[in-house]
Amino acid sequence: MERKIKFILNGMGVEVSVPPRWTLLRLLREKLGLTGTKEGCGIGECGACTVLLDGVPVHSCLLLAPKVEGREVQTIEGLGSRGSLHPLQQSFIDHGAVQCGFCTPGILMSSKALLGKNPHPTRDEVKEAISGHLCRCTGYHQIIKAIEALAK
Amino acid sequence: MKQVGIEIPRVDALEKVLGSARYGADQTLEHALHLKVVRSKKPHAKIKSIRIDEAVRVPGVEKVFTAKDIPGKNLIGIITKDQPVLASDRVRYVGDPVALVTARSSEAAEEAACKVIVEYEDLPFVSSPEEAFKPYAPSIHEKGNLLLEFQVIRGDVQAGFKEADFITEQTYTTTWVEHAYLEPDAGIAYLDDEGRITVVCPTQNVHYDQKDVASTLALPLEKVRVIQSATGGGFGGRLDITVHCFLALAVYHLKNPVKIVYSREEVFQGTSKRHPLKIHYKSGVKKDGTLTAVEVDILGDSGAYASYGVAVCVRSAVHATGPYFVPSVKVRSQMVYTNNPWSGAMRGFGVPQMAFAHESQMDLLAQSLKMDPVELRLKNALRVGAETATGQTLSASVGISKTLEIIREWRDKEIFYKEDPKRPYIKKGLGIGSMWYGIGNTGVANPSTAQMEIHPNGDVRLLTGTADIGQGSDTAFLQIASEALGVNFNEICLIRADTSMTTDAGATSASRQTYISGNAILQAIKNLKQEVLKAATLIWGFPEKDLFIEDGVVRSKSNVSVSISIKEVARRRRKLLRGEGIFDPETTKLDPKTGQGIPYATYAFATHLAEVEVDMETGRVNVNRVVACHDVGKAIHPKNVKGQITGGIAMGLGFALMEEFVPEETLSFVNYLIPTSRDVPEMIPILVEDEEPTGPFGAKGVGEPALIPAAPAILNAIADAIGQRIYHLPANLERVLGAIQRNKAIGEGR
Amino acid sequence: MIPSFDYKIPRTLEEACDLLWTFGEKARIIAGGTDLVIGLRNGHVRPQCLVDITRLEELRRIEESDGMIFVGAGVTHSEIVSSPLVARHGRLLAEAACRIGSPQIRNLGTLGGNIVNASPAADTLPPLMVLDAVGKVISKEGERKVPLCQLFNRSYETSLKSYEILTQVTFPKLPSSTRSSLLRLARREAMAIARMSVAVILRLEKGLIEDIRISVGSVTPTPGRMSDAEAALKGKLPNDEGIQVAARKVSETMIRQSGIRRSTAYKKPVVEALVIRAIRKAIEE
Repeated sequence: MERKIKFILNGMGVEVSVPPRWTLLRLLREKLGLTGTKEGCGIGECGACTVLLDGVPVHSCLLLAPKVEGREVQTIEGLGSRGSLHPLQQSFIDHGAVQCGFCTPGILMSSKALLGKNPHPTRDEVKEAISGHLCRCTGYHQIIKAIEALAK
Repeated sequence: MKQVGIEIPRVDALEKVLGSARYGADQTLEHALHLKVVRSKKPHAKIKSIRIDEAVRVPGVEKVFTAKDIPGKNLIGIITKDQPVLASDRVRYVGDPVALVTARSSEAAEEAACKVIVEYEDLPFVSSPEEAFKPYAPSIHEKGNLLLEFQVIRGDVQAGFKEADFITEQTYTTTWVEHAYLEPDAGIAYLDDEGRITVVCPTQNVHYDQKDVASTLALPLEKVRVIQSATGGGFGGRLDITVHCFLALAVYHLKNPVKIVYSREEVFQGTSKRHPLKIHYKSGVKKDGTLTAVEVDILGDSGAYASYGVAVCVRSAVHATGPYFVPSVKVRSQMVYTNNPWSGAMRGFGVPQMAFAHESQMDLLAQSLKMDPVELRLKNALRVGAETATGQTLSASVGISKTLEIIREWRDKEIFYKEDPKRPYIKKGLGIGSMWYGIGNTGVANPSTAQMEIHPNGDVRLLTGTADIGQGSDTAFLQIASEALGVNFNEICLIRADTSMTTDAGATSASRQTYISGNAILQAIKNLKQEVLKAATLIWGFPEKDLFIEDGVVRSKSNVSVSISIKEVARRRRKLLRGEGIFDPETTKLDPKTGQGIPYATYAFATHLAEVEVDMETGRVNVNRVVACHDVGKAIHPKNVKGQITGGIAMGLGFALMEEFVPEETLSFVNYLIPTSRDVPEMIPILVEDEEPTGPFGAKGVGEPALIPAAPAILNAIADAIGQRIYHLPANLERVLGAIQRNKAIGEGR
Repeated sequence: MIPSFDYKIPRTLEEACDLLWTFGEKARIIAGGTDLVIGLRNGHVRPQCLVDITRLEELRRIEESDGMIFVGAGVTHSEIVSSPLVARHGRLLAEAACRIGSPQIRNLGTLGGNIVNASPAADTLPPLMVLDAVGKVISKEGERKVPLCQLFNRSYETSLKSYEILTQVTFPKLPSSTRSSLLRLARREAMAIARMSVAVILRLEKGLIEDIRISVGSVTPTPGRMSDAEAALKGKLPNDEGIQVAARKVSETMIRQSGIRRSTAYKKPVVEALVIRAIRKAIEE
């Protein structure tokens, strides 16, 4: 039993047919080939699957596909491209904020939402904005610095 | 030096920020079959039968494999081969794999996995190391429940304790810790163009993987190829076989591409954990602060299988004293099997547990002596010329005192207030923790090999078997190669961690890759340069000894106008120029009775300072700041080294305060908590570069050292704050409040 | 792996009620889905049909009228946090909402979902208890109002029928002299279930405690008010002795309702300490 879903993905309209029990994460990865969004736990506890839904970060692993009907989804693939990185992507590279990189796409999406809403966040606001993401490699230190570098 | 010690962009960062790096589950193959592992629900049981008929009838199911489908040896393990790929006659822990389902969809595979019916006969099980020794305890493996007993004996501890003015004796325990690498294990496998079984997945050691996959399938090594995918962390958890043999077994039988993706729950249940250690520690000290003796008894829980148990048993014994000179030492370390989850390598191989004990002891002694804990450590710190507990005389790069001195400055810089007038229920504390860590495997050969090539078209290639799992070895190696060869790192193509293209570099573990593989690369470059010079003499006819290479250019000593780039040499000669490198650190086998010998060629040292605040009414601990001072020899890439340190601090904070895997209760990240961005302190990483003469440009290693001192520093800071010490990790709400109440009881009793 | 189901997105409340009436026990309401999807994934919930109520406008509003605040059940935690009305008249609720899970959870999870999931650790429930919140429940049978303190049968179970929808939560605006405080204790600073949370509302009149309301999360199977403790303080001077007595009443209530457990040794002194701290904090506000 599939259901047609129309939504905006990274600025482009898409229409797909998908079983309603599929999560947005599965739809992105398995049907649309967008594997930049990661599954780290499947239950909203690690943040690796974070995408922006109408501009705010959400767990795509907890979002059933029909919920995105008529809405706007942004994934890491829509953030920047090889030739023109988003400033956050560049800052993450410059500040050593990437180690294993598995948490990176999700954290970038939350960072983008933060700076969109609050261009000059304090350190506590930066920490709060990424508090829904687990990172096991960096201790968050250089990630926080990378975001702060754009907040000044 | 132009390329070493600078901060070039990490070579893997671009793909990772774009989301285009391909991790295990990101690999796709057309018509790949999905795999699902059926796991034991019993801690210890005989398998009476496995019924797969119902599972096979699930639409979409291809085949269900059990132990009898394994053509080769059904026993794997990096040191001790005792772990079946699929259990045949019995299961030894809750989670032991018993069958493997292959199906056309992940749904079908999962449904069928539920329909595999395993009939068990329960066996009595062993739930603790102490129980494992009881006469009535069932034998978990044929040779009994003791995996290894290892001793380090030096001097006369009885005499040492007689000399001591103060003796302190305590028991410390630690529990299972999950690696919690962010990427759940996953991968694909297929037959490549040459008919090789090819496995692509996250791993820390492709060459080991290849060996165990080949032996499982009874295939020659060259019929198996393992390629490391982008790897979302490891921390020791991917040193063991995870998904490899399942993938390979399915391809072997079905000749069809396959894919497996573990859920996080399966990672928790089916992969290794940090060894819980019980450490009984007795130390003696003279009035002036000189350590006279330590006697340590270590009991480790290896769980159902050996994995790295032998390595942890030995390394924890060798590191038992901490970075101090102790004239008389007696350590007994035992590692035993139980029916608990299997323990394996995890960042530090037992040393983080030992550091918790020896650093608590140092603070207890300082307290007895009414001496500054930094002074006490400095007084006993290892230095050049000192002998370690295994009788090794340290000859260079012993930076422990320097780290202590720097930490003392930080500690004394500001006046520290223990109280917070606005929050009377808060007490603050300061604590330090020091460590040493031997780089590489303990007293065994652990060589690395590498190749450096210049191709006839001028392409420069570096080949290494090293897996970069996020720690940054790819970048560091390119810097090392660039510096040594005089070619810009952008112009060097790195080929890594593919058994068909690279040679064995050993595991990404034991903080060894920078030092050991870095040296292998230097060796390869040295040999390549010889090849270049040989080729250059053929171009010009100058004698070889008249030529030299500087900044990637061949020059003549006698004729300054002669110069030719090394790439040009290969082009002109139309020849592949290649240098092979091998490096094995100079170690000796440790004496089996006394543990004496040279276990490592070099050691890293570090000291952390932690500032905590403790809520005296709830037991909640916040870590406000950690200053982390590390002697790394030489930082090849300072920013990446600092990134290792800050990551280590966070993991150490988790180990200290919140991480506790409880078998059969801990299922996911819901009840296994690791620190978030809001839990981590302000971090100040400081590098000390006491160069190691045998290291590549003086480098040692930092991966594990980054973690080790953090928890001891935090625990010592808690003790400073609350006036009571915690002996069991993690120091969670209940334990901290318990300690506070104990203190109150003592206070009221007076 | 999530099993199959039908997915309905009703456009009106009436349509939603019809669907639920038709499917009965076989249907489940989905709002943010942050709890439900986990239940689907691990097989605890196996509905034939999901009814998505997040597109119903009347569930998405925060309003004020006749001295009352109305919060739609489909309002997300993030929306509560940024609502000026809630900030002014139900600050405790906003304080609780901003500590739920993580930003991502707060952007999806709804107030109604947090209530009907009926977790003993639900963050919004202690504030709603002290705010004397009342739920509006709508179904094919009509509309009913239920004080939230009467909504819960036991942990993770409400008295709502399978065809009923909690559409709105209402609470009276508090007099401006009201003081309040909220304390939360967890094992981690973010993404952690509350080990304990204390909500207190207090009003002093001529130095005496005129009104006191206390509710503590994660210590009793269902949320409620700590009436013994409240009674001990009402009309009294807010002195240390009285506050300590009240704190002991709270721990007695906890043990009476939850029994002695392995966790009691920890929870008893801590709940007392936090209740004392919360009351003092409210007084000093």
